[in-house]
Formats: sequence, structure tokens, C-alpha cells
Amino acid sequence: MSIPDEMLAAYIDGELEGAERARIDEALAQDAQLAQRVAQQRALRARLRGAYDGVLQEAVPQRLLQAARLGAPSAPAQVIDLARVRAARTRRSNGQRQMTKVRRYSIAATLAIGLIAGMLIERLAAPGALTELHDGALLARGSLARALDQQLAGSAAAGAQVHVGLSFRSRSGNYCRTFALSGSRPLAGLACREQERWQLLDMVAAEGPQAAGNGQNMRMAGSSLPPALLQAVNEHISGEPLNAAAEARARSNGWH
Amino acid sequence: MSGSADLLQSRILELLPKLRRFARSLTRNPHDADDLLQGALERALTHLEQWQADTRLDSWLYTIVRHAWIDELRSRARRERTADDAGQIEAVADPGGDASGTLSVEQAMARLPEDQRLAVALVLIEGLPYKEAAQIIGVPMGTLTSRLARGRQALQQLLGPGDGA
Repeated sequence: MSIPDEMLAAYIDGELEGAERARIDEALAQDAQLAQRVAQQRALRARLRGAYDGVLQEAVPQRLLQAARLGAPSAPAQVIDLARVRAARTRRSNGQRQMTKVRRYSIAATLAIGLIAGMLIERLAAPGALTELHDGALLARGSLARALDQQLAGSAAAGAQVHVGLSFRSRSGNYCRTFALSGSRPLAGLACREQERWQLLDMVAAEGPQAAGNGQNMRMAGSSLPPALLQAVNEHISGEPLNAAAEARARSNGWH
Repeated sequence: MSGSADLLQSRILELLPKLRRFARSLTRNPHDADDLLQGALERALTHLEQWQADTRLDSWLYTIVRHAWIDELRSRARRERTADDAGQIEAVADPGGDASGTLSVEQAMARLPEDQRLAVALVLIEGLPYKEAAQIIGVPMGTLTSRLARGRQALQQLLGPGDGA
């Protein structure tokens, strides 16, 4: 029986199954020349592996470990993960990190923080600020807190500063809501209920009020949430977003 | 809070040895290989959102390493359009009797045309299924298998029968 090279290669590479594989197994048992071809190919494979497998045992150089670890914090380009930023700040103030790590993190963080924090600080500093720092957590206050407490999705007046989008239960069972802040530099964010307050978990630069997400429709045909915020929602959400009735019920229960 | 990102990161860390092996089989020396991988990791981690959770993470990373490598080759070609490179391509087309059996595996790999080297690296060294390898290279399965066949043949000629056969 003649077996083409490519089929023999597929056999050696583990690409054949069932009948095809059995057919070659059988042929091998009877055909010494075929067995020789297989042995040669296996030897080539082993030789290649032998030449390169050594690297698997080597210690991975520090610079690669750092590259793999450091990209991550800045990865979802515009997201500020506040917990991570706080953690990084603490780490940096400990002064224990290697220089490159600190420098590279700072660059990434500065880009992101510069953008977002600039906008936050503007609002923090302004009279009627929308957020306050409390024990290292960023909490909603003022009209943002009121909107998160009271506003039902899609019910904001046209010129409103805060538009609440979708609401859902987080994996830890707390209610979370997305929102968009209008203004010269719009933001969208995610806030979750923590000890009777709304804690801001993520903030991203946004396009406009629709960035809060289009209420119940968000999971249909293309969500209006910025991708980075959608990712944050996906990380936290348990089940589906609340529908209008469930949202109203949660509100009347004070988001407990 | 970012549990999935942390998990992803630890999976990438676990893949580093294999990615180094892949980079080393493409480039000719360990330093270039690590440079290549470092650049690729930086790309990967700034585009993490492009990885689709239902696809293999290793394949996605191999693809990024491959792209980074092609970019590197292009910029090298721009830097040095020397007769040397042309000579090497000729040598591949016709490996010649004098080289037979006298080359190390690395030297033999270096003599393969880029497309064959990639196919050999992904299937024979990294041990990926044809389907994954074809996707990483961005070619149909048939193209992959014929490149692989030519790569095998060239390596057999360059390396000689070896000890095992």
C-alpha cells in the first residue's frame, strides 16, 4: 500500500484519527520501509525538540516577567481601576520596587490618570462635587449620588448632568449601576453599593449621555457602553441586567 | 475587581517558557528571541481586550509574536539590503551537498525560508494542531501542510539522517 508523504506526516503529527489512523498502524506493522519513513520523521521531530526544549528549563529573564506583568494595569486603555491605582500608589510609596517597574508603571498610569483624574479632580474641586474620598474609596455624592439613588434608566431630563444606564446585581450580591456624566469632558462609570453608599469602581472617558448604556437594551444589537466600561460590567455582573420592573423594585427597597 | 485580568496575566506568565522557545526557533540567537518576545508581550498586553475568551490564549500570543517577527524582518530588510540575504535564500532553494549533515539544528532552521520555518516551529516544535498553526500563520490548512512538508524535506537534507534513523 502506498501512503503519501503528507498523510504520513499527518499521522506523525497526531492529526489522524479513527479509521485513517488505524489503517496506517496496520500498514506499519507489515511494511518495513514505511516503518523506516515514520522512524525518520519521528527522529527529525525529536531532534528539533531536543534543540529547542532546553529553553523551557531556563529561568525566564526578569525583563520578560516584567513585560508580562506590567502591561496589564494599563491594558484596557482607558480604564482606571481605582483599586489598582491605589495599590500601585501604596507600592510606589513603599519604594521597594525596581526602578524599571516603577518607571514603566508610572508612564502608563500617568497617561491614564492624567486623563481621568484631571476630569475627576475638576469635579472634586468644584462646588457641589460629585465624589469624595473616604477611607481610600471613591464615593458618589451630591447630584451623582442622588441620581444613582433615584433615577430610573432612561428617565433623565434631556439636559441632566447624570444619566443612569443599566443596573445589575454584582457577584457579591450588591447592586451596581452604570452612569454617564455630561460636561466638557464626559465620563462614564460604574458604581456599586457598599455600606449604604455608591462606590465608584471604574471611570472611563466617554462620548456622551448614551455612554451609560441603553438601559434594558444594552445586551441587544450593539451596546452604547464604551468597551472598557462594558468589560468592567462583565467582570462584576452576575446574571442579566435588571429590567425596568426589577430596577424600580430595587429602588423602592433602597438598593438593599 | 479585575479577577479576570489577573487570571489572564498569570496564564500569560505560565506561557512564557513556550513563547521563548517559539521566539528562539524563529530568530537566530537568544538575545534577539527575548527582544522579540518582549516587544510582542508589550503589544499583547496593550491589546488584551482583543483576545477572545473562547479562543486559545497561546495561539493568540503566538500570532502576536509572529507579527512582531515579520515587522522585525521588514525593518531589518530595510536596514540592510545586502547580497548576504539573497545568498541565503538561494542556499535554501538549493541546500547543496556540502552542507548536508554538517549543520546544527539551529543552523538548518536558519536556512529555511520564513514560511517553512514558521510551519515547522509551530507544528514540530510547539506541537500545535494543524488547524491552530494555520490560523496563526493566516493561511488555509492545505498551504500549511505543504509548507510543512517542504520544511521537513529541507531539514532532512540539511541535517542528514542524524543519529535516530
